[in-house]
Amino acid sequence: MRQRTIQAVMAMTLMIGAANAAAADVPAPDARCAADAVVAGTVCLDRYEVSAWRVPDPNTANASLVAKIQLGSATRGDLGAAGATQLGGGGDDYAPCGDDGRNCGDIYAVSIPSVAPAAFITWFQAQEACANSGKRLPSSAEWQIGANGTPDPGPDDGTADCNTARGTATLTGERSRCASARGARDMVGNLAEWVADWTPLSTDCPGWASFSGDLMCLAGANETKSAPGALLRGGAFSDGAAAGPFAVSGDVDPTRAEDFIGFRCARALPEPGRAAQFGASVTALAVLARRRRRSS
Amino acid sequence: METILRAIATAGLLALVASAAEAQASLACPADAVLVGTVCMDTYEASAWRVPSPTTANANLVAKIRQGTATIADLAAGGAAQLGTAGDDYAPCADSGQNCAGDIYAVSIPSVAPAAFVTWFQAQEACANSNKRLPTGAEWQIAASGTPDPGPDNGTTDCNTASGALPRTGDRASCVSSRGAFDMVGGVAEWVSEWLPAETACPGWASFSNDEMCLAGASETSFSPVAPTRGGAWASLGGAKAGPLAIHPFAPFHSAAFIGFRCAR
Repeated sequence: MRQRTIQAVMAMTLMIGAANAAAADVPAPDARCAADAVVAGTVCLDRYEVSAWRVPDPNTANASLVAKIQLGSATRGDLGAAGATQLGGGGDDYAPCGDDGRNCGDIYAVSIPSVAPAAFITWFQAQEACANSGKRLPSSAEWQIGANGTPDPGPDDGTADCNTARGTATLTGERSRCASARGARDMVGNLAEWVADWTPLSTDCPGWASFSGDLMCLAGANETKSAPGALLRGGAFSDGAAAGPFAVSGDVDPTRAEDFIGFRCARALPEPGRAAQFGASVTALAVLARRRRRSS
Repeated sequence: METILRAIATAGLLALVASAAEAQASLACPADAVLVGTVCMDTYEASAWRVPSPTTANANLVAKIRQGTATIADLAAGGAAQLGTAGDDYAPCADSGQNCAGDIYAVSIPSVAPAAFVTWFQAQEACANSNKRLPTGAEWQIAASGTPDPGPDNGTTDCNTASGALPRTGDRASCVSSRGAFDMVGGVAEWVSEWLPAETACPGWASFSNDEMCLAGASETSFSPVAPTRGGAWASLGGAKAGPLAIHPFAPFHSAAFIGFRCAR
């Protein structure tokens, strides 16, 4: 009886893992983060560039869909079944969600593969979409560790390399080699990504000199333009060799919405002690089960 | 051996249950804060309190402050003295943040004067003593979103941007953000955590907003960096310049009657 219980618990654990993996159509993720994210230092960083969805009746009929989005397990099928509308795939269709973030209570950021990433979105709207999904924009430093290991583009082969020359965005996760050391996709190219940091609007793009061929437009401080700069990372689909894990721009203000600008979100990692304890528990259960099998 | 393995397994499964409960709880915040994305932002501008004997006689009060459940009655019963309401009375807690550890506590409660006359360093200390921190500018921004951008202040329910008198937390009923934080606009201007080179200009937001925008230029001679204050205030940074997009940096050792803060955790 006890052995059956142990086996049932183990099977349940494995099923939870498999379900998480299947939900995002990716290899089993690090269990410390939900299936839609990768572990990057102390945060769970969205695995994919965000797609933005307008969810009707988010507090009533679709409350369970919103819960799934917030837990990182919503699938494209779930979104379709609930009548969610995808936004920002082909133009600025976020209204009534305003450029300044007002009236944005119904747009949700979702990290899933094989959909158009959200573009044409201001920094304020991006931040609202993350917050509605129980997330936030990553800081530039968090973005950097998430991007580390993504191949710095040479020529884009148009199929597997990071999208740095197509001139338009590809679907999320479509370029198989465009993955970071920690498993995040499309950190380089495709859409340049808003991060949380603001700076005085940059005035120059001196580059990184011999350190890197990537874009470096975080220099100087404009005294007359009527907006700060919000940092963009990674470069976009037309930046060629200037895209890359070091690409950074401080010369775009947070009110702008462009076809080459998108984002991804982050959330905090669960308490590490808890994850370790759970891991030890699963191991102990496995050893116990093996011992029982041998003795029976 | 089997007993040990069983103990490990049980502990881990209990941890899993606890984690699930925490994940659920993380969708809520303590009573003194509202959930904003991934942080719990104080519902009210901080009031600052000097708590006597914080590790002995008033250890329970400090625990309540940290849990977000302390009331004004609890503070009074503990003999806590409110600071920063009429002048710079934080000493021995210094402008630099020295001698503030375990002394001044930030509390998010309604219907009290928010702490003013406070430097960035002191604000950070008061948050830390309450097991909180100053929010980043981005965290502040998402918490403020939806707060009405002031037209004229009607003196009763609108954000306090023109009263000419130190405000009281949460008194202005319409001055609330989409996610339930009060007084993000007006009241006291609120320190956020970042440091930057000193600004050299205040070009505003042009047609995007009439709120103040002084995050421009970078001084090469200033003897101090700056930390942004956000939201505008009841006095110097008030009127139409106040609003959810208002940003005005000051040196982190600066204090004024119209500068305060709120904390996050």
